[in-house]
Amino acid sequence: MQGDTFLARGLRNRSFVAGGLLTLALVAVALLSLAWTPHDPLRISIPTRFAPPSATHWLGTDQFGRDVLSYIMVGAQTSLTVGIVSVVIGMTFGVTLGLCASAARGAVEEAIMRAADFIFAFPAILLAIMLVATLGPGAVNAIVAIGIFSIPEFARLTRGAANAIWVREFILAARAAGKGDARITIEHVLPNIASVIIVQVTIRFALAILAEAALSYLGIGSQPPTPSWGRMLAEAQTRIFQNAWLAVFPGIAIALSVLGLNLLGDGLRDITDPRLARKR
Amino acid sequence: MTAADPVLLVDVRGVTKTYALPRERLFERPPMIRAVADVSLAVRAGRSLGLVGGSGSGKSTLARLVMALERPTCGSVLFRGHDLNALAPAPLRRLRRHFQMVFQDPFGSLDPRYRIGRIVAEPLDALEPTTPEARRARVVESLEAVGLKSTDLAKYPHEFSGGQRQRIAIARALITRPELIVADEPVSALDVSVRAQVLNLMRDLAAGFGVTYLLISHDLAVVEYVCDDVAVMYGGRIVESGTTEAIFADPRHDYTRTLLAAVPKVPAIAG
Amino acid sequence: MALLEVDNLSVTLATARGPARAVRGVSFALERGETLGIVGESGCGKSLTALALMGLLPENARATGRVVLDGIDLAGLNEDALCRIRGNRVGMIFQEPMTSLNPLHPVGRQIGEALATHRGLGGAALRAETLELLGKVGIPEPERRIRSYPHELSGGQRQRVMIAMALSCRPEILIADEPTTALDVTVQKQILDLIRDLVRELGMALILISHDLGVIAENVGRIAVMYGGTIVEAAPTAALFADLAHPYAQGLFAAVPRVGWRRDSNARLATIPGVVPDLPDLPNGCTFAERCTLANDACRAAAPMPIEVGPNHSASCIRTDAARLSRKSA
Repeated sequence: MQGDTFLARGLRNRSFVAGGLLTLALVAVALLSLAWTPHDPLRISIPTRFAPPSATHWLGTDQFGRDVLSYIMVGAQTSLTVGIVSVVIGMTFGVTLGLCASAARGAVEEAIMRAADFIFAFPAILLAIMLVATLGPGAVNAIVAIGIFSIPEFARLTRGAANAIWVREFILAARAAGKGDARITIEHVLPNIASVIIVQVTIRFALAILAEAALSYLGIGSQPPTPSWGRMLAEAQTRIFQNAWLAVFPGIAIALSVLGLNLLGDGLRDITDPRLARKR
Repeated sequence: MTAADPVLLVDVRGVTKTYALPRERLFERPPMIRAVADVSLAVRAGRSLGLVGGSGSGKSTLARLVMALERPTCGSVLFRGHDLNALAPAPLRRLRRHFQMVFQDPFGSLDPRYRIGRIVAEPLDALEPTTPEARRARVVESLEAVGLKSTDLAKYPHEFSGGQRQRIAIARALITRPELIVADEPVSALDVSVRAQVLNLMRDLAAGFGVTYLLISHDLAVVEYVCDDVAVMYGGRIVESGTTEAIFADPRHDYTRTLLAAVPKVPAIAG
Repeated sequence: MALLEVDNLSVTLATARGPARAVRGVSFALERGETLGIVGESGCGKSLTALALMGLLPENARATGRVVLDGIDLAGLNEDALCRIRGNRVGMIFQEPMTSLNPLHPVGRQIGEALATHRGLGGAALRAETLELLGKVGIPEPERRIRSYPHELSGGQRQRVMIAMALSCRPEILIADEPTTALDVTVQKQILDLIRDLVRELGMALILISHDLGVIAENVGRIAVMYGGTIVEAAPTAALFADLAHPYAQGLFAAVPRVGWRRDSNARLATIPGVVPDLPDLPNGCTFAERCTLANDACRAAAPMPIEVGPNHSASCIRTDAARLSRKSA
């Protein structure tokens, strides 16, 4: 019954529907590319290089004659993988630390949050570059770097949201009922901040896609021949005036994915809150 | 000492509670505030006690000390002879089923994410887990005792009005069949007509279930309606205590007199 | 002619569940120096009525009807003129003074601003008048307190500052909406006494709005009881308590626990069955019909008009005969 009302509420929310459709499209494209692409995305064909969009190559070909559409489709896999893995890393550690800090209060809370502030103080992309430079370039290291740098954001957000829940009277009621801090955290605090975390997940997901694109653009993310939207942009930039489609189409792919995830986050925030749902 | 005076439920002995305020300067000790100062008080089974006083008088802090939600800075709080702050977590939890709490804010004291069935069952789940059938029966029994229906089990708190929510909060406190319910301003957020319903319910439960209240209120008329004894708090201390009749008829302390004189009177209705 | 005449005032709120008629055809008159209390439970429309008088309704509200102040119809005025009247002839104090005061400015400056806007005072005269106002509302050491920030004052003192600001324009009407609900009972008495003394001294008319029957009964000469957006009963205070005519008013007054009650009797508090309905759910006929033991089909069919049940005493109920009979026999 709750599933019904949740879905019904979701379908009435425009951002949720638009964001959901865009995100679904991203996932569908990535899945489809596992089984089928119009052309072999990695097949090099010098005679047909720089072909503009046509009936055979819908989005044209690049400097090696590879089909851009196929390449973008496979690139979606990279973006999704980076997004999922880095967000899982950031969320797992960040939310756990944030919840612990909030439940423990006092010195433990201070220690965790100051450590988070310490990481925060460095520009994230610079640190990612540093880390990747140390560990060596590659998709896995990029993912780990992006994941690690979303930990403090998750921790701080979780702590803030959890602290606001801890002062509520129903927490006092749970303590009076004899529940311990751990149980209260899991049964009362977490469900009440879930919507905040979900919104953050979608935003961090979008940021991770952007960060991967940026790192690949700089040449320290995923390495050729693994398709990556960011590297497509990097390779296209020298020819942006001659073969604009090479930059435009991966750019559109990044923009739509990020937009979709952000809209989804907004929509989710609105519909996961029963009080907001009632006022709507 | 386990076989204490059978009628003595709560025994507060010389309790003081101080809090640290935020530091004003980095290298100075933070200023302290004494919320409760050397308070002793006893609640006996069958004689509900009303704790009255203004804001900042320490009455809510004292309620939390009795509920073992706060640790006293010094002094001890005994429930049926057990020092709550000397008990290990497990025995304290076992003892908790005998004293439960109702809070002021009917909108804040129920977790908005849970259905009524789970909210009411919370103390049961935490203190004496039982079979699903027995649990459901207890929840229904508790809901019916406060005048709600078993069909309300599957609803969420936001589907109820303030007065109904306070009934739900009382049902939650009632489910472990406690001897004592600490009620912190249970009706001050309610409308007049609804307040009367909840007050009548509280009196009925005292008679029907043998519940004794420690009722915290700023409203003297509410205390008089529900309680047998009264303690007046001012500045963290109990300045006067006695039976409700005695205190209301013949207040001795200046503050009690001021308090009684300040209550706006509703004229008697003719007819 | 009365100082303030309110004629058929209605306020409609746009809510998520459709339009809600929050105030329905409220009419009353207020003479110079008269004190009127509006009492009712949450959602009865008492605060919206006050805000409508001041032209301070929220964005989602629309008011109809006539509000005539000293012969001037406020509905026909533009925002500028309304603003001048609002500040100069009517003063208002609210429940929570902390949200009505600017936390970043000393209270003296805030009172001064009101004085400068409404009375064009400046310099030494402004300071002298500010100090006098602070003294008048009973703030000790005005010279020192003039420089205090709102957070440095207690709740009672903040409410005194709000009263000083409301008085800065020498209003003819003071509207006090739950002025003491956030205060301790001892402080409440001080503030109410202050308001009563000032009203008497300055010859203002007072509209006191409260959910607390005791506060209303002790401080006004005339009471209007509201339920579901309408005034269900209105009478001079003594007459009202002597002869409650409307079933809701009867139920409301019987439901209050009174200090000293226990000594007189061991009876239970009377209750009104049911709950206060949400505004959009209110019926079209008598809004109290659903909770009323005396209601019949005629009650549910049409909203009852006020009828005279005594001198200066009206009740909006077609069953007052039965209601008064049942009260007498009870």
